[in-house]
Formats: sequence, C-alpha cells, structure tokens
Amino acid sequence: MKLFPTQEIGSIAKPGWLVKATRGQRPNAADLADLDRWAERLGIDGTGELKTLLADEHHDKERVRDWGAIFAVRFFEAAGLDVVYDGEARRVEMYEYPVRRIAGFHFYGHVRSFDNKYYRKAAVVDRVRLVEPFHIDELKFVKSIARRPVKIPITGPYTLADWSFNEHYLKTVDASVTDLRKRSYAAKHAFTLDLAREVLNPTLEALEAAGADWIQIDEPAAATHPDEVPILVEAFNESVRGIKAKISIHICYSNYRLLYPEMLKMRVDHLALEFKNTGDFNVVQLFKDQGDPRELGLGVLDVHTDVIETPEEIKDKILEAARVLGPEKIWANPDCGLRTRTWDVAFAKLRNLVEGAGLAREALKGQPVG
Amino acid sequence: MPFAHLVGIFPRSERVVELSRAVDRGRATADELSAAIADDERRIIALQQEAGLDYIVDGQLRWQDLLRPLSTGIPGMHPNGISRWFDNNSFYRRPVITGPLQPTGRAVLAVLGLKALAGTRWKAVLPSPSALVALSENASGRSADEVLADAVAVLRAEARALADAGCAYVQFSDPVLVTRASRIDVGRARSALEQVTDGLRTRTALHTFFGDAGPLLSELIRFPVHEIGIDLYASTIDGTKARAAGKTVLAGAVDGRNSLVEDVDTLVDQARRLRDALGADDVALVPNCDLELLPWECAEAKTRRLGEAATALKAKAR
Repeated sequence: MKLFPTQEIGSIAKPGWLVKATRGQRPNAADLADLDRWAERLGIDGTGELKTLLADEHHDKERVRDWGAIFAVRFFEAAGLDVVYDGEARRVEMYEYPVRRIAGFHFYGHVRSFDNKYYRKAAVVDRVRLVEPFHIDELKFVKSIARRPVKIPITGPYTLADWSFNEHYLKTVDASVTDLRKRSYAAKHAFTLDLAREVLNPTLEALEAAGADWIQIDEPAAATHPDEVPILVEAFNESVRGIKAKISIHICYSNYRLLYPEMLKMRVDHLALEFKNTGDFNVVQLFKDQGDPRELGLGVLDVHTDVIETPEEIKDKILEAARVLGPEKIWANPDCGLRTRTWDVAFAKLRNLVEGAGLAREALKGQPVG
Repeated sequence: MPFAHLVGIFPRSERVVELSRAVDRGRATADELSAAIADDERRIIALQQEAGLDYIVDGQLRWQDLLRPLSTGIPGMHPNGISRWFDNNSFYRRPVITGPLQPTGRAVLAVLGLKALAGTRWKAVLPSPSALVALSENASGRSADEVLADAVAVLRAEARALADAGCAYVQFSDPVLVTRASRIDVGRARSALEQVTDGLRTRTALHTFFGDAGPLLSELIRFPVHEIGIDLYASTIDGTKARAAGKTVLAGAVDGRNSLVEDVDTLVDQARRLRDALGADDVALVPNCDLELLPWECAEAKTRRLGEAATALKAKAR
C-alpha cells in the first residue's frame, strides 16, 4: 500500500433529486440540472432511466436510492480517494436507521436538540434483538459497482445506547444497588453489551459474509461520559469478536485524552479521528505518548467550513504527523462526514485531500522522516 | 415539611414542535406559535397543580436554553454558535459578552408566562452568576472579575424584578460547579451568588446537576440560599461528612435524562436517605435537571409521579 492513503468518513449531502424522490415528490428543474451537471462531471452514463423514475411519483424508491449510491461512489472515486463507500445515500441518519431495525425499542415523541430543532430518541423497553442484519444489501450493491476498495460504516453499540433512553435494563439491575448513579452505570453496561452481542456482532458477521473487507464502527458518543469508557471498549470488543475484516473506529469532536489508556485495550486496527479541528488536544502527540501502535486516520479537512484547505497545508499536516509517528500508519481523511457541505465544496476539499497526500508522498521520496 | 417541584425547562408538546418548525420554514406565524405555547403553559401549570406540587413553574417554553433570555435580552451580550450542553446529545447557543452588561430586570419577565401563573405560588429559574460567566465567551476585553460583577448586577436586577412580579421562589441553576469543579473558584462563585441573593425577598435555591456534588457538598451548603439541589444520578453521597443543618436539600431523584418513570417507593427512599445522610432540616423531591431532555409525554408522567411521591413522603413525615 502506498503511503498516506485517503478515505472518506461517512455521509455526504443527499442531492436534491434524491431527497425529493424518496419523499415522494417530483424534483424541480434545478434539481435535474444539478443531476445532469454531476453526471457529466463524474462520467455517469444511463441517467435516462433515473430521470424516467423521477418523473413518476409512484417510482421504485429503492431503484432511485441505487442511483443515489452510484452518484456517491463515483463522487468519491472521481475525487481520487483510495477507499470509498456510498455516502450513506440510503440511510436517514446514523441513529434512527439502525434502531428501527432492532426489536426492543419504542419511539416516544420529539426531544429538542437545540432551538427549534428536534429529533426522535428511542427508549429500550425490552431486551434488544436483531430483527435481521442491516446494511447487507447496501454493501452488496456498493461492492457491485465500486472500482476502488470499499469500507462500510456502521453505528457502534455505545453510541446507540448513549443516544437512547434506558428503561428495560434499568429494571433488571439488582435491587440491592440503591445508589442511582451505580444503577444507571450497571444498566448502561448491560444495555450496551447486549447491543454488542445481540445486534452488532451478528450484523458484522453478516457483513463479512457479504464481502466486507473493512468495517468502520462510528462511535461519536465515545468520550461523552469518561467514566463509561470501559463500557465503550468492552462492547466494541464484543462487537468485533470473531470478525476477520479490518476494523476501524471513527470518533469525532471529542477529547481523546479521556479515552486513554483504556482505549489501548480496544481490538481495532485503525482509529479515524479529527485533527484539523482539534482545539487544544493533539491526537498525534497523544498516540505517541500512549504508544498506540495502530493506524491513524488523520482528519485534515474541517467539515464545518466552506474554506477549502489547500494541498500544501494538507501535506504539511500529514508530514507533521508522520514526523511524530512515522509515515507507515498515517491515513488522510476529513474530520468527519461532509454531509453539511455542498457537493461542490466537498468535492473540492476531497480533491485537495488527495493532492495533499500525494505531495506528502513526494516530499518523503528519498528523505528520512523525523 | 417535605415538598416537590420542577426545576427547569419543560419539553415542548408535539403541537409546539410542529408549529415551531413551521415558523422556521415560513409556514406558520410567530403569533400562532405564541398562542400554542400559551395553551401549553396553562396545561403545564394545571398538571403541577393536579400533582400537588408546592411551587409552580410556567415550563419556560419560550426559552431556547437556560441562558437565552439573558443573551438576547441584556445589552452587551448576544447568542453565538451552538455548543454541546454538557454530556448530553443536545446543544445551547453560547453567549458572547462584547461589552459591559447592562442590567434591565426585564429579560426573564419578557419570556415568562406571567398571565398563566397568576394566582399561583410560582417559582422562576435563573442561571447562577458564575455559571452564566463560565458558559459564555468573554470577548469584551474586560477582566474576569469585571464580567462576573456585571453578571451579578444583571441577575440581581432580574431576581428583584421577579420578586416584585410576585415570584415566591428563585432557583439559581448551576451545572458548572459540579462538572468543572477543578476549574471553578467555589469561593468566588459563592460570593457572587451572595451579592445576587442579598436582600432578595423570595425563597432561594442553588440547584446543581449533571455532575457529582459529593466532593463539593461541604462547600455547597455554605452557599447563601435556603435550598441546595443535588443530582442523585450523578452524585455519590454515601460516606459524606458534610452536614446541611439549617438547609433544605433538593433530592434530584426523578431522572430528567431517562424516560423510565420511577416508582414512588424509590423516590421516597432516595429523598429520606439524602436527608439523613446530610442531616438536613428538610428534603424536597425534584427532577435532577430540566425535563426538556425528555419527550412531553414522559415529562408529564414523571411530573405526576413526583406529586405522588411527595404525597407519600409527606405522609411518612407526619
């Protein structure tokens, strides 16, 4: 493998035609013009079928989503990334999509996120049970069309538990535990471990059987409660038990120092972390200090700004990390999914990511690092 | 005598959720939303009255977050981008202090459901002065001491205006003291609150949440308020040597961060254990934090259960 390979992290924005079509609406002229522009830019043929589908309000939504995946895979390939996926074109988002496929949850009404923004948060009201492994057809489709290696993202058990209300498992805690804090911890532990064993592990097995070579487990909630990091790690390890595919974890917008040293016990090959928007904690030095031997997916694109990072500054960031950790285990990626950026901005950022990684390789030709 | 009440923002009903989204999308008017909120304020007040709660809140449905009435209503500060609200999957707009803060005494009253509260024994919620400063960004060029003094003046004016409007109880909410204990000067926080409460004619409380109050208890009970609130889902009280004689402790035993409705026996037991552990004069049952992190239906059920537990607690105290 070449030095400094590049990867995407998760979701990208859904095109207007895809959003409207999946809502049962007809895309407008601007949406269709956008479709044509990107089809040409990405070299996608045969969009006549897609337009025919979009013109019919009673179209086959799954086929439209197939087209959404085709556009996203080609988007990443055209940007030049070494490992690609479908930008989560079929998923509503990373919480509700899997939870709807697990028995034991109940959705109450809305909870406020901030201002007039709300989300639906489920409560676990019975022992969790996998209805059927999810993301399988999605993975098979991506593998059937991708021209580059594929990595599939999936939400991790700790985040699913942390973003849910916990009713069932709280009821199962031994009555002799009267301290409410300890009761909550015990319930969270039981809930997360059940998600790992009963839901994630069989799903990962099914994904592997469907051809997954690399699975990225997303755990954005990882560092939310520092005292629960042992739960995060134990559940993660249970999730990947027996899995041979490459496993990575993506954690964003967290104080990574809170995760160590427990994190060293996690059975993971690769950690994809934010680096561009790290504030006052530097993941590279943390890796060095902790002697973390695993691959580091270095976030070098800020996903919350339209400012396009230049190839030169990306190169500098990569080399800065390489000087500390050595070049062999550094990957380059955005801090997180680029779903809040337009396709034009996201594409420009990813192109520069690829170019910056190339410049970093050039800079190291014949030169020792460090 | 044991009692019970709510401690902060109540969730929005599905109707208000829908209307507030519609307002943002230009499909409903602010007046329509305001009318729906007024309806819900009346429902929330009736709910508390039916549950037999001792102090009544309006639900703070017009508050976008704990700090927003101040960050939008006080000259010298404004709300900025979103920041995570402690260890929750929810967010607030961080106030930015750009110059000297000018007390008005009108910021909270402007968003209070005063009409709906008329005739009730009502309570209001403000951030503590040190929490207001800690959760804001100081871009004013003024020193930390000057900004804290400004916050004291602002909150003093707000609290007095509330008292003049008939408020019986002012709660100062402070999730900062117990979550960032190592970075907070507790003595300075106490002194600031003392300047706010000095001469205030209402009953007062300092309510802490989201963090472990255990290590700070001996400090917290010296704060110049009648009542101290403790989040029992984040605190370890066992073995504490702190004594809260002369104080009422607020047992945050109703979990505002989980949908499971607690049973009466658990709530009563938790309240009594806390009172006994601290040797407090009295104990009140409260949610550990605002109920806004729950859907409406769960908050409604928990409010009813809070009333049932308070009734049981009172019966045992007789």
